Amino acid sequence: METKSLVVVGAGVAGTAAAIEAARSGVQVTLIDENPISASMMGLDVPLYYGNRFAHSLEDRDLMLQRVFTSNPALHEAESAGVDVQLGTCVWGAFRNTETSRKLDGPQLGLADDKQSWVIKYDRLIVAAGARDLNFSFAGSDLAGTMGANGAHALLSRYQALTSRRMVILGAGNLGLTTARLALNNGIDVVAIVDVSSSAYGDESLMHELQQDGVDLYTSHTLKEAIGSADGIESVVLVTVNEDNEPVSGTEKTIAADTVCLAIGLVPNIELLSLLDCKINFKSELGGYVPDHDEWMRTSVENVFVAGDVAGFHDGMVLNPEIARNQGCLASIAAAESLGAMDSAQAHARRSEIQAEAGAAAPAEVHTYWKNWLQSLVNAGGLDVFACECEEVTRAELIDLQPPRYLEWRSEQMSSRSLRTQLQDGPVDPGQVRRLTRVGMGECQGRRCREQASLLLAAESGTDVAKVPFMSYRPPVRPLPLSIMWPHDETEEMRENWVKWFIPVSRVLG
Amino acid sequence: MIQLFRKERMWRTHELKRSYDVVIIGAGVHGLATAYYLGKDHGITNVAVLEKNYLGAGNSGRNTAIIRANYRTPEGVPFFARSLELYEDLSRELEWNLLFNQCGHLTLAHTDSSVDGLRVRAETNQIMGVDSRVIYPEEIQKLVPALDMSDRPRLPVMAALYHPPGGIIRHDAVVWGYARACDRMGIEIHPYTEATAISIDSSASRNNANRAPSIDAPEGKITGVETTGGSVATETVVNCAAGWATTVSRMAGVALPIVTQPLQACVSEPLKPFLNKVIVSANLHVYISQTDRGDCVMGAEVDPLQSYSMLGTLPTLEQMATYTLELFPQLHNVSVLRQWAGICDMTPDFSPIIGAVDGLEGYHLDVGWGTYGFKAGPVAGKYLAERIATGETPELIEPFRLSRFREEALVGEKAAAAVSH
Repeated sequence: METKSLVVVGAGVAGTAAAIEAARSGVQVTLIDENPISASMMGLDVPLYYGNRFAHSLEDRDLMLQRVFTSNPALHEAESAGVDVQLGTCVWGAFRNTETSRKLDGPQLGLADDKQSWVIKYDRLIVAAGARDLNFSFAGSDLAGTMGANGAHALLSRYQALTSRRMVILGAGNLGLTTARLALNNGIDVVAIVDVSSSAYGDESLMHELQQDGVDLYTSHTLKEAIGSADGIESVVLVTVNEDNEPVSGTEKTIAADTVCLAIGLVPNIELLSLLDCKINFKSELGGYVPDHDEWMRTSVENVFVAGDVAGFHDGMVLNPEIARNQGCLASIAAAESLGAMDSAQAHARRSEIQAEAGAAAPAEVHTYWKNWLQSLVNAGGLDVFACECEEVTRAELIDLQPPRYLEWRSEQMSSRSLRTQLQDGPVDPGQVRRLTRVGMGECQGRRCREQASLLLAAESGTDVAKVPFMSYRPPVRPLPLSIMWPHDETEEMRENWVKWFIPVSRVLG
Repeated sequence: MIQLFRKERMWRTHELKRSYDVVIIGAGVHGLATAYYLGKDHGITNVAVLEKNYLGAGNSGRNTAIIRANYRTPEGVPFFARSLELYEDLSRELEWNLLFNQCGHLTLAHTDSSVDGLRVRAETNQIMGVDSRVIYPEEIQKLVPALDMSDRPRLPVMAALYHPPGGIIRHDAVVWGYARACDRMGIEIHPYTEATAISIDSSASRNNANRAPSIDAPEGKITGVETTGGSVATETVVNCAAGWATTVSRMAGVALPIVTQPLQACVSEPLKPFLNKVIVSANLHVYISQTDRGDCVMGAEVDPLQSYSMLGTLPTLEQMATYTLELFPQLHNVSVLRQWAGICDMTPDFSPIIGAVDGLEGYHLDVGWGTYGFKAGPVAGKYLAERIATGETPELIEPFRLSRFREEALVGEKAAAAVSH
């Protein structure tokens, strides 16, 4: 098995910065990124919420590979610096020795491209896996055209394959505003930016510019429903909400649109860190569960570092990519120093340069804002809306802990069971809720429903969302076809003679 | 935000009392079944079932939910046959739909020697009254049209052991059904309560002073259990802790011939129904079934190394993928969504250890369930409850006593217990 000195997972701002910094200090760096994502995986909304509004050109893998490369100039810079860049390769698992397993030959990563899977070892690992889209559902959110801001960003700038024409954006923070700007620049009509709060909280000048370009801002509004056909969303209904996030009847407005882009928030992609058993804590201001890290971006697990959105995302980071870049450099310096490629004086000097550049605005907690959004969507759209689209579990069924509806089975006994009764059995555990209702068990591997489920469980049980236990991740953290998991080291000859392994040698030799 | 008006409880919470007649450690299917039959058959309801996590968080919710009775040994076959019988009636008895689908179970043979093995199993099964017979390619293809019977697979399908009453069940429902029934009888279930120590009175006099000292356990008598919720006095403790069986047993000073190894499984995205039999291949080390949802559940052989890890590994996933595709090549584009493991308490002879322990009064074992524990939950619970209540060991579980390992009376079940779950 190959051992890499330093592996960086994710070639976003933080990952490329880390890779370049380390390569320049003489470390052998492997930078792994899963883009281009296959069209079939995008269809499952993995790893981002792409919303099935994309062009067929995505199926041309070579073209996409080229676009991924050209859309990110830092990749070119990384290659020039001597980084081994592996695009189109996902990391679906991470394994190391712990209390419960002691016989691994060092820490390992499970990798796969579009044809096969394999395992590599590493000395140092920087996880810069970014963040995924926060999704809250609404009536009609299962139609094609509902997507997340990061998904939209990827389709617009990386793949140039977004086919939306008229977009409604939920969330007037910097995430929503930059998405609107990007969409406008790509010739998409942004017909509304909606926010449940009474004012836009994103950058004022950016908002002003957008309004000058004719974008309407709807504050104190929520989305009541999206209406459409088999082709996807055709119009959306907005409604005014009062201070209690209740819809004001008679204020409904129908707007023609083919896309709803959720830009309410992002959630750090901590799957790999969770598999590595890094210490993970709930920090609302950073988007929920995030890895513990020190000022040099070291996690609680030796030789594992984090950088960028995966270490915690806040809205200020959208306009200031320096934060992610600096985190990447810091992680990289720590890794290089621990590998002996830099002495501590050099590392110290370089760190102080970067710290001078760093300047993260103090973020505020986000879950109140998320809760307001969800509350308004529930109040306007009701409970009979899928909380988990893959498994078709509605919010009502989740709260009532109903067995999955495909069983077409309702029993007296089960209907006596609810979250309230479970609460008296002990703390609400999403692991158990998942077993009871199948929420989060579907094709998107729970990416589109985790936060909504946690918030609903918290609201219904009257507990703080921070107290809802963490729902575990299981490998593979990407849905992988069986044919990719098939070991490819078996030769044709071995295969043909396979049956002989079961026949005693004495019989073969006579 | 939302108000609910549900009143009836599935099971209630209780303050941990200071004393119980019986304390059961582990609230999976075995622990709950033992508690249930203690109450139902013997009227013993002053029972606490302790669970360190939520109910069914361990192997009861991690297995591949296969129920069958086509074992190999004269001790094993009637035991598992009784379990199947209990499962068949369980939905009615618990008033709880367990979705037991007796779709039939096929164990494939790909070599001459495996075919011979299946013939022996079929004979044993038939003698002991279990519906099981060897069938050949033509009939196999009729039962499972999706199975690749061509010359293409590296190991052609030569025959199969067909076990019509075998099938799959909703495993979580079995746990909840038992839990609710226990609660209705007044048995207390204590989730998130971990047993941390077992107290023993070593000076307690024994009934038979002339008896030779035990070598299975320290002489003495159980007096209580320490838990994270406080200490509890009891004279009877049942160890139903599966993968942690040895850890719990060490608290009582009883060494067990058990090692813990993970057993992995994975599940695919849902597909249209194409498979209505449980397919097992012992030669290929894989078993596959399709759930009501349409997901394909695939399982592997136990990991070769001892560990308490509940995560999947690549070699096992590769094997499951390879062998599944060997049998069903049309699944090559189907994605795996999740892989997990349960930790199995493996004994040297692939049979469980059930019953009381010589020397240590009041200590009972229901462990060593390896990879075949879920399908035996009801029978183990029912007959262990009888042992606890009457002090007499029922004939059905007698062969599975702990002392068999030093008496050279092993029950070698590997031929039918390994892989073919």
